[in-house]
Parts: sequence; C-alpha cells; structure tokens
Amino acid sequence: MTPRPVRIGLLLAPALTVVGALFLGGFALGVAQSLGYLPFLDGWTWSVDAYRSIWADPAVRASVALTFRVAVVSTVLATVLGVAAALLIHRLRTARRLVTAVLASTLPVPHLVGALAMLLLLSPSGLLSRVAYSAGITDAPADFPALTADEFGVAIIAEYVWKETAFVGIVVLATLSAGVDELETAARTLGAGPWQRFRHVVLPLIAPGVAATSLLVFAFTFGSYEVPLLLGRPFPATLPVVALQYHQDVDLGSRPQAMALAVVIAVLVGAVVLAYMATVDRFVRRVR
Amino acid sequence: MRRPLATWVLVVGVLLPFVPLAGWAVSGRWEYPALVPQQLSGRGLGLLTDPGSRVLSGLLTSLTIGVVVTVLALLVGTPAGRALGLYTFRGKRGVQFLVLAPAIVPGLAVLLGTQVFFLRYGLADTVAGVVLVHLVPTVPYVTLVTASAFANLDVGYEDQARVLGAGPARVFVHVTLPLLRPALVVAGFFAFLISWSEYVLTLLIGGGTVQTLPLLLFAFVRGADLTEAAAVALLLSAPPLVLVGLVVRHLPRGHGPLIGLGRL
Amino acid sequence: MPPETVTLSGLTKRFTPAGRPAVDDVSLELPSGSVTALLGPSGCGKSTTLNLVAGLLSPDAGDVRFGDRSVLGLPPEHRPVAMVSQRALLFPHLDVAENVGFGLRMRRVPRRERRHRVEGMLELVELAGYGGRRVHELSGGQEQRVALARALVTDPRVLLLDEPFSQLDATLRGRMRALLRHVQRQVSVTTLFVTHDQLEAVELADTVALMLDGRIEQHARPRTFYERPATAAAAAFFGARNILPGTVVDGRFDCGLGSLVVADGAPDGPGHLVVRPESLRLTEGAARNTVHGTVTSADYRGTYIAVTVTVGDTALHVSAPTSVSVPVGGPIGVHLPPHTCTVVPAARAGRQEGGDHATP
Repeated sequence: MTPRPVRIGLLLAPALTVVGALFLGGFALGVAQSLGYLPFLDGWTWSVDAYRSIWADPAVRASVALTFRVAVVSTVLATVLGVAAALLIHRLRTARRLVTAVLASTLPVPHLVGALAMLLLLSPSGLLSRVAYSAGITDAPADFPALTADEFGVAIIAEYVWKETAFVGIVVLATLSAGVDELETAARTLGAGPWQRFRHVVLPLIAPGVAATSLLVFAFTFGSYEVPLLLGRPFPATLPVVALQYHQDVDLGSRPQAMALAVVIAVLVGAVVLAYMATVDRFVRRVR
Repeated sequence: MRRPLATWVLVVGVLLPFVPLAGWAVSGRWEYPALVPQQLSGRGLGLLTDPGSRVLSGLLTSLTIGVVVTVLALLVGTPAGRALGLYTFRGKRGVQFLVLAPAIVPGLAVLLGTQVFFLRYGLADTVAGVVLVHLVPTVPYVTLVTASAFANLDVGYEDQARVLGAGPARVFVHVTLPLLRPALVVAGFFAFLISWSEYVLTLLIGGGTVQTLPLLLFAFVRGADLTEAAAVALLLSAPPLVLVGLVVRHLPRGHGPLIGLGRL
Repeated sequence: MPPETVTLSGLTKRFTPAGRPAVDDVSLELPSGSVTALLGPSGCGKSTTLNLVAGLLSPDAGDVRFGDRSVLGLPPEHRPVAMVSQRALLFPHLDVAENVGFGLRMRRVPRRERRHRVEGMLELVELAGYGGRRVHELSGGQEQRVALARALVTDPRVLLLDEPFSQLDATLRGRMRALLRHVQRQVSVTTLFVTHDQLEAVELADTVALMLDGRIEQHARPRTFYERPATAAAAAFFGARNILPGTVVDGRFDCGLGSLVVADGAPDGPGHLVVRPESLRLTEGAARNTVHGTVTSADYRGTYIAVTVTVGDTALHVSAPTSVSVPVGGPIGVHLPPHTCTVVPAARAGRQEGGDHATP
C-alpha cells in the first residue's frame, strides 16, 4: 500500500498546481507588477509610485466609495429579501413548487443577461419609463428618473439583488426543509410564540447558510466587472472596471496602476471576508 | 391575506425583467413609448440559426470551452475532494482555504497579473489559454462538491468490494464512481455553467479573439442592436435554465453544493 | 474449495506509534470448517483483528496463515475471504442479484453461471425470487441475508462476520442466527465472527476467543467459560458475579468467608474464587461449605430471584428459584457447591489458552 501522506499528496497535487500557479502565482505577479516590475522588458525599477498615484487619484477614491456602497447595499437587500422569500415560500400551502421554481429561475441566468434585462427595463426609454408615460406620469424619457448610468448605481444594485436574492433564498429554503416544522411544533408545545420560534428555532438553523451566502454575495458584487460596466457610469466606475481600464490603456506606463488596483481589490475582499467571518462566527454562535 | 400579496410581489418582481428581454428578441420595431413591440420579426431568433452570423461560431466556441473546462475541472478537482473529504491530515485547513479561496476572491483581481505571461507564452488569444483561466473559478467548486460527497461516502463499500475480489481500479469503476455519480453530475453541470457564463476572464485572456457567446452579447449590446442582443441573451440563458432544471432534483443534501449557484 | 485452517500468530497492530496497540500479540488457531467467536466489549480490538485477517489493514508484527501459507503479502481481493459487516453495505446502484453476483463478476465468471449460482445462493438464504428487487426495498433482516449470500457465493474458504446481526431486533436476531448456522453447515467454511454479545457467541460458536484490551483473555469452548474460566476478567464477562480474593492452602480456599472447599486442581497461593450466582444455594441448615449472613435485597426477575446476601463485609449474589420465599433483613445460609467453585490465579499471568478445550 502507498503510504498515506504520499497518497494524500498525490490526490491534492493537480488542484494545488492549478490553484498555486494561477491563483497564488497570479496574485504574486500582480503584486510584483504593481511595484514596478515589467516582465520581459529592461529598465524597470521597484517603486511604490503606482500606489501613490492611485491613492492621490480622486477618481479612485470615488470608485472605492461606489464599489463599497454597491456591494454593501446589494448584499443587505439580497440577504433580507432572500430570507423573507424563503420564509414566505416555506409557509405556502399551494403552489410552493411553482413559486420556488420562479424564484430559482434567475439563478442560472448569466449576470450579463441580467444586466441587459435591467437596461431594457430601467433605462430612460425602458419598459418602466414607457409605463410611466402611459400612466401619464411622464411626458418624455428625460422626465423619468435616471436609474441606469446614475450616480448611486441603482440599476447595478437592482441586477445584483434580482439574482442574489434567489441565491440566498434557495440556500435558506434548503436548510429550512429539513424538519423545521417538527421543531417548530415542539417549540410551540413548550410555549414559544411566533417571534420566539423564529428567534430560537428558525434563525439558529438558517444562520450558517445565510452567513455563508451573504459573504459570497458581497465578494461577488465587489469584484464583478460586466454588470457595472453595462449599467454604471464611466466615472466614477467600480474598482474592477477602473482596473481593467488602466490595463487596457495603450500606454504601458499605466500597467502598475492597474496591478495596484487589482491588488487593492483582492486585499479589500480578503480583509472584509476575514472580518466578516470573525463577526459572523460570533453572531452565528450567539443566536444558537 | 398578506401572504398571497407578498407571493405575487415576489413572482412579479422576479419575472418582470424577463418581459422586455423576451419582447425585444421578437420585435422588429419597438420605439418609445410603445408598451408592446410595434412590429414582430423573426430577425433576432433567425440570427441564432444563420450560419453566416457570428452567433453559431460563438455558440460552438462556448460549448467547446465549456465541455473541456468541465472535464478538466472534474479530473483536477475530484482527487482533491477525495483528500479533503476522506482524510484528516496536518495542514488540512490551510489546503482547504487555498483550494476554496478562488471561489471567493474575484478572479480578475488575481489573474490580471498573469495576462502578460499568457501573451508571452502564446496562450493569450487562444482557446487553450481561456480554458486554463476558466479552471480557476471551476476547480474550487468541483472540489467543494466532491469533498462533501466523499465525506458522506461510506468507505465500507470500498472495503466490501475489495474483500469481494475487486482491485483498486475496479473498486473505483464499479463502486466509487456509481456512488459519487450524483455529486459528479452536479459538479460537472455547474463547472460547465460557470465557464458558460464567464465574461471578464475570457475577455482578459482571449483578448476578444476568442469570441464566446457572452463576449458576442456584450458586443451586440454596445452595438445598440437590441433585437440581436436580446436574442443572444435568450440563447445564453436557455441551456443554463434547462440544465439547472434537470439537476436541481438531484442536488445532494446540505447547502454546500448550492454555493456554486452564487458564482453564476 | 475446502475450508482452510486459519492461524494468527503474534498479531500486533498500532494506530498511533506511541499508544497502546489496538491488537496486542494475538495468536489464535481456527480449525478448518469451525466457527469461532471473537467476543469482547466495543473497542477491544476485535474488529481490527477481523480487518487484519481480511487484509484491509496490515499488521505491525505477526503473521496470518491460511493453511500453511502466509497471506500477509496478499491484498484483500486476492485472499479467499468474504466479509459481512454490521451495516449490510449493499451497493445502492445495483439490484439484489447484481449485488450477490458482484464477487463473481469481479472474478469474470460468465453471465449464465453467475445467474445460476446467484439464484442458488438466494435460495439458501431464503430469498428466492428477490433477485430483481432494488436494495432500498429490503428490510433490515433481508439486507443482511443478501449480504451473507453475496459473501458466500464466491466459495470463500474463510468467512468473516463483524457483528452482522447487532442492528436487528431480538426476534429477528434469533432467526438470523439459526439461518447462519444452517448456511454455515451447508457451505462448510472456516468462520470467524465478531460479537459483543456473549449469548450469541455461545449459541453460534464452536469455540469462543474472549478479547479484552487487544489481547486474547481466553480461547475455549463456550462451556468452559461458565465452568472453568481462566481469569477473573473472563469469569466476570460471562456473568460470574461472585469473585472473591483469597489464598489456596492445601486445596482449601481461605477468604473473608472462611475456609472453603473448592474444585480440584487449584494450585497453592493467592487467587480469586469465582462462583456464578446460579450455582449458589440458599439453605436453612449448617452444612459443609455453607456460610451465614443477612439478606440485603431480593428482586424478582421473572425466572429467578436476584438475592444479595451480606456475609461480614462480603456481598454474595445468588439466583434463587422463584418458589422459595426470601425474607429481606432475615438471616440465611448460602451453600457453595465445591465443584462449582473455581479458583483463578490472582495476577493475570499472561493469556491463557483453555488447555484441552481450544480444539473441538
């Protein structure tokens, strides 16, 4: 028999190679390039100029604020609405399967498609604006409030909430179906009212799933590219959009700034994930 | 009576964005402020079957990349799932963290630095290069799903098969593989869907030369031909909807396998 | 193929390098065609021993021989063994016939012969006609019978059973034991089965190997454990509740109860007197080997009365017939029939083979 450590090593080798080379390696290369390293070119020197320049750039500051705002608002809305949708569907007596299928229908739709749908729905000449016109509320596209390419990022948030509510909802539904009703009945016989049953029976059961999904929603909405590109403004744009703008610049001199932004995104997401895990862990333990 | 109202709000809210999408796909003319298309047309949907359009070649590229990525991700991710699901070993938490990190940290942020190397070694603008970067978001997911399947796998079955005369390879083929089939099907479907929906990594490494359907859709949206764009959007959404509809019944218990949905 | 004599010698297995061995220097001989029970509490190493024989684990020291051939180098699939464990472990993706035929398929037995042999085996375990069933349609007892058929269809020379009936209810367990004995006689296979249930061991086995803390405490015929236990631990495991320390002097046993006549052959020196509750007799009179004390409790147990008699500071446990009346608090005599009083050595001097009793 092959010794155990060797066996485990062989099993892990392919995945660790892919992740190590592309993920860790890619990140390390990004850090190096953000510090001035120019692969395959002579005459580069180490420096932190890129970080200094993005720090000084008001566009980047506005971008950080926008990216955080969009990610936080989307995550909170999707989490609250997702949990509410799951609780609602769980208590439905008729058409439960149908409503679940409707909720789940946005899950497999690519975000790019979602972004297009929001464009066709929310833009000044979109469906809602036409409905407003038909209802006599507005007289022209310009009268309709700017929901796309706006300062706040309404359409971006709407797209994220549309898809991620379903994600949170379906995961919570999966945890709810496992015998929650019997537990609630048991709590009822012990004298627990509706709020107490939610607080002491349902919430502890769904908390880990809600924590995990909302974390993923935040990380995704923070780092996503195509949705803000289609539905947002060119200025301020979210961090990934700005990073790729720098990267696609014909002037190779802006490469270090692009890399610095990529590093900032990765570090911010990493930091938020760690902080979130620490607090949510405590929260999940407390509700139990 | 609040419950039916809330249910209707939910259903309408979810389905509303599909309405203009479907409308544009079949419209010939739909100007502001008309509520319904002024003219219906098969132009958008006809595009999907027109060999002269770029849509069919985009579809082929997307399918090729998706299938190859799925096979590779299963081959690379499943052994790691076995190691993480069946064994405890020193450094396991670290390995877990490392293998699953790409599922959380945005791919663009870590892969931006590799583009120049893909370019240098002739992998940029190639299908092979795109396949390689698509492994980053898919392998962690396959590992996650198979690890939970292996953790629930009763190794007694494998022992029993050994005692009944099956060597390691035949145990794998006749016992382990059939027992893991639901998990592998789910992992494979989602690996395919993640690759199928991927936009920014394809753009970064494929450089616009490798034209998958999402890139094509983006080009159509930017080209302001909304009928073309809506038709391609429907084509892009149809296979995932069908696939998820098929596998959703077979999802293993627990929410681990569902997490991949958040990546789509 | 004829059944094999299985010999374990000095078998040792550790799971942690520093810790106590799970299986500690175990030697056993299982005669060809015999049924041996490996009996012990959970965690005593009996399942590990079974896995060592099956080849699912490899020992740190010692040897496993089938006939005169060591099988240590052979992987499980090349050993002529079959195994049935606590959980039936029927492959859920195969039907009943495919499960039973699995071992034959692995040996590339042609389809027609396979079907024939599977049918014969299903008949033997009283499941004729169940071949097409899905395994999740079976009851617990049926599952175990399919598992048994699956194990035996390949004509193994050694059959290993790991608590095969422990998850069934009591009635079903009894029926399964009867079936197993019947099948085992039909196919004649050297059988080693692991159990924590002494009644099951006694009912099924030709010989019982009692295993405690990774070591074989005693290997003997079932009767011997009741009549001549080799150690105090073996006696206690088999329900000899009266174990008294003392010293043998000139064939008599001196202890807290006085000087008692015991069964022949007790060597002089310190030892423990072992006597079963059902061997003791309550008596009014004063005869040889009778001690007097006070009844401290008497509990009705259906077929007997569990009586505790305190003599000085020693408590004696007596199973009295339900026909006698036992006054709690009253004085009473307890007779210890000499031939039922066994003396075992005080310190457990190594493991003991049950002498003449090990080989039937």
